[in-house]
Amino acid sequence: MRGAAMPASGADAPAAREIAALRPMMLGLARLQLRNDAWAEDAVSETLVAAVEGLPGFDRRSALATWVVGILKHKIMDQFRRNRREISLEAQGTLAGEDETLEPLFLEDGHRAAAPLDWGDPEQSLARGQFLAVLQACLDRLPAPLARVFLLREWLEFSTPEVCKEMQITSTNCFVMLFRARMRLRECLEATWFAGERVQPHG
Amino acid sequence: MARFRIDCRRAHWLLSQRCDQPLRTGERLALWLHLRSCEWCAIVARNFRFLSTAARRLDPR
Repeated sequence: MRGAAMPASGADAPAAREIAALRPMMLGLARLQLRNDAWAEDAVSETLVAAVEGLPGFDRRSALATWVVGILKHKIMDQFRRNRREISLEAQGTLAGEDETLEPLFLEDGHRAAAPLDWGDPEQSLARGQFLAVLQACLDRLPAPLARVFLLREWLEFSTPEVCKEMQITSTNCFVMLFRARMRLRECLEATWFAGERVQPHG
Repeated sequence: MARFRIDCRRAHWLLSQRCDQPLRTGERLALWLHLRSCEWCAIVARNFRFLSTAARRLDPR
């Protein structure tokens, strides 16, 4: 069922075509969260089947794409849980292999070493479609475990205890990973999107 | 209030933690006091919120 939606009959046919057209977008989101092409393909295929089969029950109170992405999120989590052992081992490896500190950001006395960039009004940036593309590119550059943990928390909106449980890591490790993910995303966004927004030093 | 004084390094860590769970009362007060007096950390606080908002907008609208 890769690459095409299940055929739908009669009145559902245009909606089924609309669902099939969402496939590239869904694949992008699934890859971003799962960081594994085969798992992402499976999650998207299962979503397409579930969406086409569920079309008669779709009440159109939300946009079709929103409804389909809702299904996709469940299918992503199914894949996540099926491959949890591998995901958890990879997360442990990331924690063991990195020893990032905040040192370059701060002086010995604990003050910031340099002025941060002011990212300005979020709505203004978010209204520009390219920003989300840049954010996706930055997420893509994160090590897989950091991207997974960040997106579980922020995109799938799991609570932190749920994130720790899904990743099978301790809460301390979970916080460290979320912290590192945010640090790296900030760095990446500042280098690619917000460059030039640095505020003036204050006295 | 001196016991609630924190530096930027600690504030930065608390800002990240605040995205993931409610801070304890003492931590919340310390962070609030710090952000009132540190313009740079207040900017970073806004940037953290921005990042959360942006990640939630990855869905198609």
